[in-house]
Amino acid sequence: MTKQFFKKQLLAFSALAFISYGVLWACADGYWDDDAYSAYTPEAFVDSAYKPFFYSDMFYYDIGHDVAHNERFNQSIVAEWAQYLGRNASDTELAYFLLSASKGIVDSVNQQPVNALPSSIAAMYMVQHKSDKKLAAFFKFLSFAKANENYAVSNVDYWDYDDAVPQHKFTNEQIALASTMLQEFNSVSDNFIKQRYFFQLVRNYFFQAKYDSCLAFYNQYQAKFPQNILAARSSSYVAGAYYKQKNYAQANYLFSKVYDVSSDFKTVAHFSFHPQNETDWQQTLALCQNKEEQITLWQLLGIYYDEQRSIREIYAINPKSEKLDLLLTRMVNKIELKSNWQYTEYGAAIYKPSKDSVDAATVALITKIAEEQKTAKPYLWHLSAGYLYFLSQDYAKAKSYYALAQKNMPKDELSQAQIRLLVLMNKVASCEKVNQSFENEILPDLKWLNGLGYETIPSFRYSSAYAWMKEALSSKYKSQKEYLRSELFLHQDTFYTNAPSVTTLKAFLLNKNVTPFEQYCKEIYPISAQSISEYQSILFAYKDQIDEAIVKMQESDSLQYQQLLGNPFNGTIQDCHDCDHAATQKVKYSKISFLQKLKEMKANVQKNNDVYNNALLLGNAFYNMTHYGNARFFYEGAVMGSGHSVPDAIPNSFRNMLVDCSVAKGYYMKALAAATTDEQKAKVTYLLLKIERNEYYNKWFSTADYNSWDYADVPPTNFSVLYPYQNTKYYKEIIAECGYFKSYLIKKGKL
Amino acid sequence: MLLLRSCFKRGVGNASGIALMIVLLTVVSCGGPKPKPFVSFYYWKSNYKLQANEIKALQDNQVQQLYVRYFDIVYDEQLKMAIPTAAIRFAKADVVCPIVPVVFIKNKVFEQSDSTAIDSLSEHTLALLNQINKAAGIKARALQIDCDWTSKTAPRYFYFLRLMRKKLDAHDDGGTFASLTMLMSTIRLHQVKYADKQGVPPVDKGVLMFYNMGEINTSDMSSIYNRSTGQKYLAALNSYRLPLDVALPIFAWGMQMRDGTIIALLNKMDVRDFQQKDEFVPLRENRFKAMKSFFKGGYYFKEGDEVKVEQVSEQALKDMADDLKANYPNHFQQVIFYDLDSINLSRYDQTVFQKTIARF
Repeated sequence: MTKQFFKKQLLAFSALAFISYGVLWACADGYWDDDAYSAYTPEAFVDSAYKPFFYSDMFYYDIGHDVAHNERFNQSIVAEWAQYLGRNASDTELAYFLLSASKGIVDSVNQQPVNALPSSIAAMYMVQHKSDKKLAAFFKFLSFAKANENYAVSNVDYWDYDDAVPQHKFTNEQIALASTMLQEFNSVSDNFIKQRYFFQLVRNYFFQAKYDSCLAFYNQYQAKFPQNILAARSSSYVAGAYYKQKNYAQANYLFSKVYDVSSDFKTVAHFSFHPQNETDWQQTLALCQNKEEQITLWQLLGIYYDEQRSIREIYAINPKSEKLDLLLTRMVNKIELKSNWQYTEYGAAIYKPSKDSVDAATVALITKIAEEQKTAKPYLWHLSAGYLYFLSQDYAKAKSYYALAQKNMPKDELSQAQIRLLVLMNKVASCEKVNQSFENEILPDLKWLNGLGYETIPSFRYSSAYAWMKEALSSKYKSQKEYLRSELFLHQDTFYTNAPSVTTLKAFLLNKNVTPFEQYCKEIYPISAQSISEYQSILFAYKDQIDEAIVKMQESDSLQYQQLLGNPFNGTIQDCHDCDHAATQKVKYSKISFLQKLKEMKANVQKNNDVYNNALLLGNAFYNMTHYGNARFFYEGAVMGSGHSVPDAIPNSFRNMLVDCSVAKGYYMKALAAATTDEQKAKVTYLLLKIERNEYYNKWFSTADYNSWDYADVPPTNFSVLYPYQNTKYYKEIIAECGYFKSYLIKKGKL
Repeated sequence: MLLLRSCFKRGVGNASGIALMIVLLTVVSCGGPKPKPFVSFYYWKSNYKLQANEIKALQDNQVQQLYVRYFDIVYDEQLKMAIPTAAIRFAKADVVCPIVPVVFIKNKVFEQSDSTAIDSLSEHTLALLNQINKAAGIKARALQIDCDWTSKTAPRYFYFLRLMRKKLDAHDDGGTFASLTMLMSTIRLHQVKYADKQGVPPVDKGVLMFYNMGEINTSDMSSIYNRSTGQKYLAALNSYRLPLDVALPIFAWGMQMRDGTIIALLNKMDVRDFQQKDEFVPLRENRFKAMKSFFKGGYYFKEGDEVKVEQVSEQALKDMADDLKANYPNHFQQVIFYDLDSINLSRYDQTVFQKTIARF
């Protein structure tokens, strides 16, 4: 292990990135969790060194883009020098000099006596022993290396031309540096140090665009050094030089060799690998000295362009090659994505395979390889064949391949979880009737999935598959006319429009004497019996059946005590929820106390007791309970949802009810009939106009071309009904607060 | 002539521009037929190194200024800031005619930037332009900004342009821009047609991009030029409140399609690249099918892949000239061809540029 370098010098590879041309990738700024469309986890089977190449919508899986250019080799550089220097160096001091210290500091150490150095530096063991032969060589080299690093760093000021186009800033000093370093290279005898000068020079020539010198120097001396990380870093510059000279065959061959050195090199080498024409690609293949090198080339081609062809080629060369695993999983993940995982409006995943989503040639290839059992991981091929048959809706074949896969599946948790999940999905998909025996068969698996949290099994992609299975079971129950079970597996608002069904559901949720499968159903169902009582109460309230509403609300346990945000009895000129919520409220109403107050007021109206005021307040209350009022919170809950900023955010099943102001209108009419003063009449007349306006909106958003991003037209409100009250104070308040009214009056010449 | 070509009318509010306006008006009002537009080109690569036929095209067409893309500005999601990419590298010896720097700014930059960010963007942009001008020994007389702005980003883009105008007028340019630098903005067809919604940029001159008329898709319709589509936008030209030059396409590209979707844009490729029978079979006009899996031109074609080629014929260029002339009596002073590139040039007879402007 002889690697070296400095923090910002580790750039070696970003330079290669420059060489590579722009790559087209879709949705570079899009991002989704792979779990969202996948039930097939490559992490279970593929060497983690290949992780960036797992199929993903990102350029590199998990990391997006490779931005580790500066730091990639930091640790190994320190470790290599530590090993070389032995007990003369501590890791901390080495890391400081290699990764942080400026050239100025290094030069001071080289040139100044210890006692002339800043105390923190002078105190270092390495500095105190700087005349030690190895340490002296270290500091001398370091000074050259620091001088040589400027052009190779990538933590650039993006807006600086010198940084953006590094060759542009090659100074005469840096050019001269090459010849000084060459002298050092020639004079130094220690091979460890010599290789480091060798690397510096290769890099210097590359950045100076002296590609001939770069190649000649490298070819003359490279055989003198061990094939270590630094050798690979040197040869990657050489690959770059070949590329610049348009010798694509050599360039790509070297990139592929570098790719194979270690996981540190994989992404950068992959990014730089880029055959141009069939001729250079064939030449690259011809350069290979053994089968393993050919396999690497095919793997790179497979990752970039054509997994199927590469699998065929690699399989023919060596069916046991571990390089097949990645390509297989990429291919399966691609097909899986094409098979149309989608989310329903209820949040469940569905997948809708289309006939052409699973490529027949791919299935044939994977099946053939699975059947021949010549690979190193036959279970992976069986599993994959099974999954492709599942996606093709051939569940019998899927089952038989899964059975084969199970025989040799590794015992680790992720592999076992993977096969268990796929087998379960196949069972659910192929089940024609869900009966008690089937329920009991799948119950342990469903409970297992239900108990998994985020990263319980790291990387395991199961959540969409689980959501899909619940959706699938729900739909099977529905076709069996088992509507309760169907709702339990997939909650849908429409279920709640049928009162007897809701009663049955609530009874089921309250029943303590249930089977284990039913108990599981209760656990996955997102709505509690208490929330259902609350919902039933709200339905009664909307029908102005307040006594019944109180009874149901009292069954809702603690939900009844949730406090409303504003005073629900206010009737304001402008509907401003936030203002009402912020206003001082002497009495805070909870859902239940609100209902109780309504009951009291209704009794007053019935008894002809202060009818105007009671009816007005009841009108306000019923108005505020609607989507237009300040007490949306009254209806918000687990069943009807919350946060409906626009009418079409309200679930279809509840929308008409929640925007309907007719109960309020009835009470306002009563108040109008009982009004005795013009002030009273003006107020109620105006409040009725608000309802007229809402009715206009209600019609508008029910139209086909409604778009929630549009603004509604100003409703054609008949403000003239207010003219008789133009001497009232309230009339003036409306002018002050309601701009529409004011402009209406101006238009009509009344103001 | 050089003066006229280099110093177009300046915007109102710049007193020093008046003298030039007089020169301009004098020439224009001399009577007789309006002069033909000048030929110019865009240069859109990140290495400035002219090929022999490119230099010849500049000479043959007496090109007085070459519009060179200096850098793009993109919004970097990770850095959460606007950064330049692909800054041009000049070989000094190749600067054979006056250069107008062009900066392409992705609309997303303005979607993501508030006024403070735009302040700093304008400073950075000018500083980088200066650095490049200095490095290449260029003194520029105009600056062109290319941005596909929308009605949503127009206020921010226009704010950026006003800042650039101010900085250029205040000579914050390190002396690499002439004292009467003209500020130009590219104008897309939709920006002309919906000028009431999208606004008119506060620049001295616009360059109407008479291409990119359709979506890049798998249909047989060209995304580069379609006469009937182009004609739909022309009516709005004459009422556009900005003097216009026009940019015409001479580029071509291919689209690689697999499973009904486009998987790659085949830059600089045209029908000549798909004539080899063992590689592709023609399906219909400008459509080809790969007969095997192989590399070509830096792209990998998989057996069965389809290729759609889009290129602009000489006749199409003439049609464009006829339609534009008929709809823009104000007269274009300059036709800028996109883009100067040896492969593009090799597709045409070298008289095409003169033939095209002759129709204006």
